[in-house]
Order: sequence, then C-alpha cells, then structure tokens
Amino acid sequence: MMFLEPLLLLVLLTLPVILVLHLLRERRQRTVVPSLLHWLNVPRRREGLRMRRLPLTLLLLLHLLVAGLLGLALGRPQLVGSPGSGAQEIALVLDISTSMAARDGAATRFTEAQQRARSLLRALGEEDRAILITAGPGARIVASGGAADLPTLDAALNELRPGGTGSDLAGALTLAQAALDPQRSRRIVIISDGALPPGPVAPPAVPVEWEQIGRDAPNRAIIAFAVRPWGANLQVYARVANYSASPFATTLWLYGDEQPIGTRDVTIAADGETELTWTLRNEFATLRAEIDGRDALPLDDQAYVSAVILRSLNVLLVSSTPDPLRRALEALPGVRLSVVDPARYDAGVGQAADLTIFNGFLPEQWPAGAVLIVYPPPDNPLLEVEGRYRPDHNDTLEGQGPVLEGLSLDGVDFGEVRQVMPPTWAETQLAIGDVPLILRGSDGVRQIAVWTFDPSVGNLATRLAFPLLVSRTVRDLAPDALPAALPSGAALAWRPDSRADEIRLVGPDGVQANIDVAPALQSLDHPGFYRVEERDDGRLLYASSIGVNAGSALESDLRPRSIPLLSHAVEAPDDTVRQRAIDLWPWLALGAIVVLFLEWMYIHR
Amino acid sequence: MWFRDILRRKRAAQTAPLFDDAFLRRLERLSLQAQRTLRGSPTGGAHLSRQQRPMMIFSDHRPYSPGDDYRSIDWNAYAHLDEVYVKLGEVEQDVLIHVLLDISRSMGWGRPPKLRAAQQLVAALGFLALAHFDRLRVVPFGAKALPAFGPAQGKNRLVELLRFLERLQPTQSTSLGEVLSAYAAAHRRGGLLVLCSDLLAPEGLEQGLRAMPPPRWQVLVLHILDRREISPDLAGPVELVDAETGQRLDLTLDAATLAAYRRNVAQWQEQIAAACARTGATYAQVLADWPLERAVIPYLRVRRILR
Repeated sequence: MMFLEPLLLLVLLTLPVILVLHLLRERRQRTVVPSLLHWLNVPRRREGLRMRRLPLTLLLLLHLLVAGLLGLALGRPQLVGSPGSGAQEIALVLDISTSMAARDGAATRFTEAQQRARSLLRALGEEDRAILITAGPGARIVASGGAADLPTLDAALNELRPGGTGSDLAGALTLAQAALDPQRSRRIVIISDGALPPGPVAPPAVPVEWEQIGRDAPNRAIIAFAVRPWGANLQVYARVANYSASPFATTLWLYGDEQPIGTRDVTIAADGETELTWTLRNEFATLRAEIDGRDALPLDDQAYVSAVILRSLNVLLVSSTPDPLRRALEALPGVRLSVVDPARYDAGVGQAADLTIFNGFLPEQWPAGAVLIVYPPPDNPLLEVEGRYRPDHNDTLEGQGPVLEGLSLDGVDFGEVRQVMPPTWAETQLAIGDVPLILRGSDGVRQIAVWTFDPSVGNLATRLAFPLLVSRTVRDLAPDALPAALPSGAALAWRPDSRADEIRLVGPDGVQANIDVAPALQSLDHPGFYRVEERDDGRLLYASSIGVNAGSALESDLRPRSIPLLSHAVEAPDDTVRQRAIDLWPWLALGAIVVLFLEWMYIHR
Repeated sequence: MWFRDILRRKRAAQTAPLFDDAFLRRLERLSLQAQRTLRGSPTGGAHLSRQQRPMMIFSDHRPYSPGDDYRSIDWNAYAHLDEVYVKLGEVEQDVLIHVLLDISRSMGWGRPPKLRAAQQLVAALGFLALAHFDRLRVVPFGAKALPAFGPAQGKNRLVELLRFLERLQPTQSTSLGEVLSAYAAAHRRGGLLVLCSDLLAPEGLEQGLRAMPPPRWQVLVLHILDRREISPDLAGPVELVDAETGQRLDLTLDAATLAAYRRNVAQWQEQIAAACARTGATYAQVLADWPLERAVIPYLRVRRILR
C-alpha cells in the first residue's frame, strides 16, 4: 500500500486532540427530568476530578474511528499490486541541466546522481527492466534494458554530461510513461536537484519517486551578456548575480577577440544583481566576460557573445530603371548593393550575389543565389507571362503570408501588371482577383519571389508600405543571420545560404562537425564560442560565431528548491493500470460516513 | 428525531383504554365527598346541603311564616301545642365539580407517564360526578386554561368525557398560580375543585389556593408524582434536561448529591402540604404507578375524598 498524499496524513494528529477533548469534557448521560427545580441547589462535585482517567465511551471510540478513517482517506492510499508477474519496470529520469554540474564537496551533483542511478540499476531483479531518460533542455531516452544489460546501461550513464539551461521534466515523464510496459509494475524515479522551470507538470499515471540531491551552495554568475550596435560603436551589457546570503566583491574582466579590453570591480549585495555596461569601438568579432566567482559552479562565471550582429548581404539589382528599388535597397542595413544594366548582365556577375533582383528583365537561367523578379517581361524562358492586366478600383486585394502581415496596401495603384501563370513551386501571397501580384516559393535550389507589378508605375513607391515591402522581401529571401548568443543546450536553427553545400560547426573544444544544410539544426551544449561556416564547394560563403552561455537565473541559483508535487493521475488511462492501483480512499470515506451516521443515531437515540 | 417519532406513534397506538366496564360498575358505588357548605342547585344531585327547607322528609320545625307552603304545616304539632309549625327537611343538591388537569410537558414524564395516571384519576372522578348527577367541568391547563369539557351532567356524557381525556397530550409549561387565580375569578359561585397536577411550578400554588377560599370552594389537591422523582435512579456524570423548559444542567451525581435532592423533594412536599392546610385544601399525593382500583381509590377513601 502507498499513500499518494502522505502530507495529508498529518490530519491523523486530530486523534490525540480528540482524546484530550474527551479528557477535558467527558460525555455525560443526557437525562430528561420533569423539572430542574430540585436539582439547582444540590452540591456540585469538583469538575477537575474528571481529568484523572480517560472515559472509554462508545462516543470516544466512534470519534476516533471517524477521524482515523478520514485521515487515512485524505492520504489517498492505494493498493499497488501486480496483476501478472512480479517483474517491475523503472524509469530513471536524470536531470542533466547546468546546475547538476555544481560541486557538492569533492564531487558534483551529477556524480551523486549517477551513483544513485547505479544503485537503483544494481538493485534490479532478473526480470526487471530499466529505462534511462535524461531531462535537460530536451528529454531523451538514453538506454534501456534488463539486468543482463547492466553494462550497457552503465556505459550510457557514464557518457552523460551535465549542461543545458532548463530541465524538460514534463517531456521526460511523458517519455517514461510511454516507454514503461503497462503490464508490469511501473514506477518513475526522478533524480534531480529540483532546479526546474516554473509551471505545472501534469502528473503521470505511474507512481513517481523523487531523489533530490544537492546542498545549499553560494554561487555567483553572469546571467545576461548582450551587445548591440550603437552608431559606429558597440554597446555591451552584462548582469551579474550573487546567489548567496552574504555580499560578494569581485572583478569582472572583459575580453574582445580574446584580448583583455577592460576590468570592473563589482560588489553585489546578498541575493542581489549588478548591471554593467560598456561602449566599445565596433572592431571586435567576439566578446567574453569573466568573473572570479570562487563558487561551486564555475561554468556560469563566464559569458560569451558574438559582436557581429548583422549578416552582410550582396544584392545585385539588374535594371535599366533602378529607381525607386535602389533607394529602398540602399536604406537597408547590411546590404551591399550593385546595380547592373540588363545589357551588361551575365551569369558570372550573378553567381557572386546573395540576392539578385531582376527588374523588367529575366536571364536565360537562374543565378545561384536568391532571386527577386520584378515586373517580368513576356516571352522569357523562366516564367510564363500570359499578358497584361490593368486593375480597376473595384478589384479586391487579397493578401496572406508573413511578408504582408500588418502592411497596409489599401488604395495602392499598382498600375499595369503582368499576368503570370504561377509556377508549381510558388504560392500566391498577394493577388487582385485571380491575377497574382506577389508570388513566393523555392524551386528546390534557391528562394524566389516574383512581383508582377512595376513599382515605378502607380503610387506604390510613394507609400510608406513600399520600403517595408522591400525590406521584408529581402530578409525573407536572404539567408538567416546567426544569433549573437544562446543559452547552453538551446537548439540552433537557421536557414543558411541556399548556395552552401557544406556547413561546418566548430565547438569551443575544437571539435568540428558537419551538419545538414536545410534547415540547419544543432543543439549547442558547451559554454563558449561555436564557429559556424557555410561553404560552397569549399569556398567560404559566410562565417560567424555564436556565444553559448551557462549562466541563467534558473540554473545558477544552487540553493535547495522544493520539488514539485507530482502524484498519480486520478483516472488511469487504461484498465490495466486500474487493476494495479486500487484507490482505497472512497471506501474509507464511506466508512467514515457510516460511522458518523451511527454516531448521530447514538447521540439522538 | 424521525425514528423516535415512528416508535412513539407505535407506542401510542398500543395504549390501553383508560378503564374497563367492570371497573366503572364498581366505581359507581362510590361518590365524591362534597362538603355541605358548598352551594349547589337543589334541582337534583345527591349531596346534602347545609340549607334546610320545608320538605316532606322531616328533620326539624320552625314557626310558620306567611308565604310558607300549607302542605308543610305540622298539623299534629298544632293540635298539641296550638301553634303553627312548619316541618323542615334536609335538601339534596347537585354540586359543580371543577377538575383542573395539568397537561404540561412535565406530566408526560415517568413510567407510566404521570399524565396517564392523572387521566385515569380524572376519568374516575368525572365518572363519579356524572353518575351522581353532579355538574362536571374538566379544564386542562398548562401556561393557561385550555378549552374545557362541560359543564356536563348525567352518565350519558361519560363517553364524551373519556374521549376528551384521551385526546390530551402534554403540550406546555405550567403556570399554576395564574391559572388558579384566573379560574377562581371566572367562577365565583365556587364548587368542588379537584386540582390534578405534579405541582412543578416554582411558586404560585398558595396564592392560587387563597383565591378559592372555603366555604364557597372545596379544593382537593391531587399531587401526581413518579416514584423516580422522589428517589431518582441516576448516578455519575449526567446532563439533566428540564422537560418543560429544555434548560440543561451538568451534574456529577453521587450519594451526597442524591441525598440533597431527596431532601429538597421532601421539603417541597411538606411546603405544598402546609400551603394546602393553610388554605383549607385537602392534599393527597398519588404515585403514577399506583394501580387505580387497588391503590388510588382506597387511598382517596381513606383521605375522605371519596365515600
């Protein structure tokens, strides 16, 4: 038998209270007399004498029985039995977040967690089975097996390393519940220091046990480190936190491209934070901050950020009448614009551009990079143009897609537009009736957008929506810039240059990995700088760094936390589980009600 | 409580009639001992009056006065004494018998209930009154006098009387003194008054009896008591509940407490008897479990309430 709400068993403390109340005021036999006239002035016995012995009355026994039954019912006892064999399955959920890397004496919290997990694995019976699940920023099943697979489970356990912001406990519990065999006796054991993201966790329909580890340890951490361009300079921001009950003084060192560029003496109040800012010349690719924390978790004493915020973009405008597109493009930050007359355009010029814009012109073949086609000419080999269309004021404008979101194009006169037959790879984002105005898609090699109108005709170029439309279209077609920094364990997802056929990722430890091109997705676990390179046939197209930081308010506070309250789901999802966990509280509550009724009858008999 | 109500109804349905025909026949030989000083109606009844009137049944003489009935002149005395005398005889009269029956909640207490014993006693006395052609008035009372039975005369009203008595249930608290005073004020002619009560009213009995002075009133106080009132069979911690007021009293009963209670009861009975003696009332104590025919009736004959 097990209790799902063991804390509520404290209600049983009412039993001695009832005894004391009965000692203080024993139940008297109620007797009706014709009149109290002759009883009022009889001598009274001293009441204190009644305290000498406990009156063992039926009413006292009924009171104790009711309180006992209700107290046990509130504890929600369950008879957990195995319908089939006595074999059990255990899911070990290991917290591998950054806080688990904190030192507790000679070893780290994670080492302690590994030892506890090993003890549980050693205790497996011959028919028992274990599933090893990690709860870091994401949940993952690492290994599973029976007692015979103990070496495999041990090896998987030894390979685990702590690191990552946040513990996906909900995901880990879902994985555990799905992986556990409902035909067996199941339980989930969570080994964690309790540093879990806030928010409720749905209780699983399997008994959950907590193994909390970690002692109170003071810690200092850089929990925020960011940079932004400020004219020709860079503004740098850092926030340093002190998670201890006493103030702390230290020195913060700032490095640019790994060269020391400044120090600050910092004094942080107990349980406080200090914010620091610097204004630097925009001449560094990476910035690193470091404090001497002298604490249990050195990982969060450093913070990293890339100072290259924007991804520069080579845009080639092929047009005989480049205005007003040129004006809008020149206003975009990070854009290096080249303008070429259609008569001088050849394939070699287009290969070097990240984005090529053809205005009233289309070449024989697509360039390598992304393409924006404006007002395509008829009789071209790349798009099927069926004629011209002059919208009138009664035509309805229909738009969709993120590029047009919040953009007001009401009252815009698009002038005469080309009637383009939408290719199979394109979808219509803006149309007047059946005539598309903006098409967007990818032919599998490059990103392509088509404007069937001429922005130099009509009134679009005079509207505020035009530079916004140009800016959004360029950013939509261009490859993504990498973030300056990420919390450790976060997944890096971006759209690389469509010309790239190889992406290299070099970690802080120097380990190089090649990752998939589209879409690129990689989890970055180790604090430090990751270098990302996009290459086309060996030629470097783009390279940048990403800072990965371990410090965070969630992981750096090493003081003991209260574990979340997880209990059985009231209703088990299937009949098998219902058979195995029998709730006893309804019977106990029913018994209490019956006894209460008997007591009521006894009192009013 | 609902379950108690069910049981109570069942018990009520099983109650026996107040008495049987044989007992009534035996009872018919008795009559109430009414004093001659009471003022009754000479048109009927069997009680002798203190008044003497010209009657055929001789008992005394007086000189003739103008207006006397010639038929009552004693001509033999005239022949011997040469004076005209009138023969006087004793007058028989009926008496107005008032029965005040206490139906307060305290009368419902006891094994059997005191009210049951009182009902039987009042029925017996009522039967005697009706059988001897007295005028009978039965007035149940609690805090005040309730709708009464009578005045009735003649045995043919007996069934009506018994039904009236059987319908009575304990309902109210007692206000003895006020009821007696009010009743005396409303019935100034007087008569034989039988007070049938447990007298569990803190005060007012003597005051009420003083409102009914002899010779106009002849008062019989029948004090109905349960044996356990005199000697309670209680011990240990008890919560006593007053049957009339619902007032509660926590007591732990031991020998000393019970002895004190018995002293209180004895003192109370003496006070009642003394009050009755001072006001000319006849006091008789009747225990509720006494059999009516074998114990109560003989007892009342000894106390000269019946003859």
